[in-house]
Amino acid sequence: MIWLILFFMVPIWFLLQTALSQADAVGNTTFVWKWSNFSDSWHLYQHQYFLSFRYALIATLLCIAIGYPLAYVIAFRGGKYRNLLLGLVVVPFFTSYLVRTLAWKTILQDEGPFVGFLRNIHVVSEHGHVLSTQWAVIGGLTYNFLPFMVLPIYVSLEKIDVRLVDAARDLYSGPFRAFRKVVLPLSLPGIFAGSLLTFIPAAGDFVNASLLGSPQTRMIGNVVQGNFLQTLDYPSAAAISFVLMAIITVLVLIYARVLGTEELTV
Amino acid sequence: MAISNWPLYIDDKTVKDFQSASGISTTYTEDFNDNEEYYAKVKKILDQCNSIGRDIIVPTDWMANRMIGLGWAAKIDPAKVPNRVNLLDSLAHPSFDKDRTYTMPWQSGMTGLAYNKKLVADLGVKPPESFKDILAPAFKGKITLLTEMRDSVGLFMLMEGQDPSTATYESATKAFDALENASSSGQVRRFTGNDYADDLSNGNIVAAMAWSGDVASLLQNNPDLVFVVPPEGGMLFSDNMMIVATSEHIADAEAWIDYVYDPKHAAQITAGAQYISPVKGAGDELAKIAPDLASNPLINPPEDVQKRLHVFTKLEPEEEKKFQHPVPADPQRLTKTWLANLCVRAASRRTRCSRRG
Repeated sequence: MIWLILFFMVPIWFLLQTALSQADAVGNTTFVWKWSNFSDSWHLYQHQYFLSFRYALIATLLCIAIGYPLAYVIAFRGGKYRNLLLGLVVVPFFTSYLVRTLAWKTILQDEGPFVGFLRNIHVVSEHGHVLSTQWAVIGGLTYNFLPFMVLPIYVSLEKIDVRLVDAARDLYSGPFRAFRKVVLPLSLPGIFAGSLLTFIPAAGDFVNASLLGSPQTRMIGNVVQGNFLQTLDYPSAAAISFVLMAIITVLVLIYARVLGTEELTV
Repeated sequence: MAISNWPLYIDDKTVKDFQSASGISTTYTEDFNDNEEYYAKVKKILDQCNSIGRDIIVPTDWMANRMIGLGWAAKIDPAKVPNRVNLLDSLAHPSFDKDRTYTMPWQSGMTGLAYNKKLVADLGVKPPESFKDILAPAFKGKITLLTEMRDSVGLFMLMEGQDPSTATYESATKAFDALENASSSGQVRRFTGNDYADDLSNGNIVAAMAWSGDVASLLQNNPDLVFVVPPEGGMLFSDNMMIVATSEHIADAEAWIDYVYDPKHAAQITAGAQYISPVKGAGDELAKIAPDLASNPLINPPEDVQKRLHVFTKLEPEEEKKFQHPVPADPQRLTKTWLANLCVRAASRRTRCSRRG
């Protein structure tokens, strides 16, 4: 309880106080109950909120699409290499987030072999580029948050008793049906946890958009960062953070309701 | 005595030489990366008149203006800096510090257009001369501009035939619209600080709004780069040494300023930094130690180029506010908020906390 007060309530209280303040020209703030900060932060940056949630949603779906099969193979086909494979998923974490993202800048550079290949097969036009597009940003988010998806799914898959699958097969269900009726429902808690761990940080991320993006792909995290460090407009940055927090809470509650109840009934 | 300066802005001998010549122990740190960020870092401390652990910092003109306005600068005693007579006349009376009471320029630089001539040839177009040229469809997504408001707005004002040295919000409207269009149409790949240098040298972009000294250093590894000051004009900026008001080593700091205003020492610094020296006679001294640098137009710009350079006007706080939040033509398209986020606020409050009268 004391930790909750110390590390959550107190910072939130200061954030709220800043969000309701008025900024002067040189970065000083005075507390004046300025509620309009909230409506302004929504009106001015609607588009950036929208982009953030869109990119985060696509990245989360991609993470499920890539992460689920990966976790499945490790859990059921990994055999004695299980721990090694799992370790390989985690190894990129040994380098800094920033460096990993910068590495993608090198991989995707315009004159590099990857873009050269895409140009040869006409996926990208002759002078086109991959870097500084929304796909680079979404790709970066997917890459960076993939382990957060793989690990929870792996944990829930690993706990499944394989005899349940055998039982389903004995009762004349095909392999696909056995997966759909037995494995998938039992791994839903993993997908649920993984999605939260991916979506929430991805929606507030600014590193990928600032390194791999362009002026059109500015996410809400970039706006907060700019307002804090460049414009010194602390109140508006604090208000944006609050609105972002509120929207994510609502989205998570809806998500928990939809997926959470299913998980209980199945 | 401690100095904060921008990265790669000095040679590797001057600090050692100064220490042995004067006996003043000196710490030189390259942690001044961004005017606005440095300001945010030291603001709370200097507001309370506490020491920031630095005696000399090197803000750009407009930031020096704000810091002087806030009372953060100590006066430089002219008697302690006899070499100040070597300051170039063109830099002796800037609008923010009429008689150089608080500041002395460290280095100056030009902002103009840089491009990779090999990649331009690959695009099949003729080499660009002005920013109008790189707004052509062939360059779409292949150019970067600078986050520094005074450079991007200033150069686009020149492109639109306006003079940034007398800029008002009204006269800059066309420049804002041009920037807005370039940004929202995807013509501009990114707005950058120094990091355009990487994109330019590894071929991610073909042309960039660039600082002369950066290009001078990049040229050593990549001879395909070209820096031009457009015929309609380029921007001129200086970074200025300023003694922090709470400094306890003001006399030592003055000794340093005097030392670097000796043409010989100034030439040595310029040979390392590859920017433009504000010191009279540094060019001749440079010719003795590095003749190829002395003849480099990026370090020693010819007179016709110098005539085309402009310094962005000093903005009053009210005017500055308008520059930060330009009203978009179409309120639904608020891409202009990049400017709101990147541009700066002017000083509106005065405090004094100098430890010396």
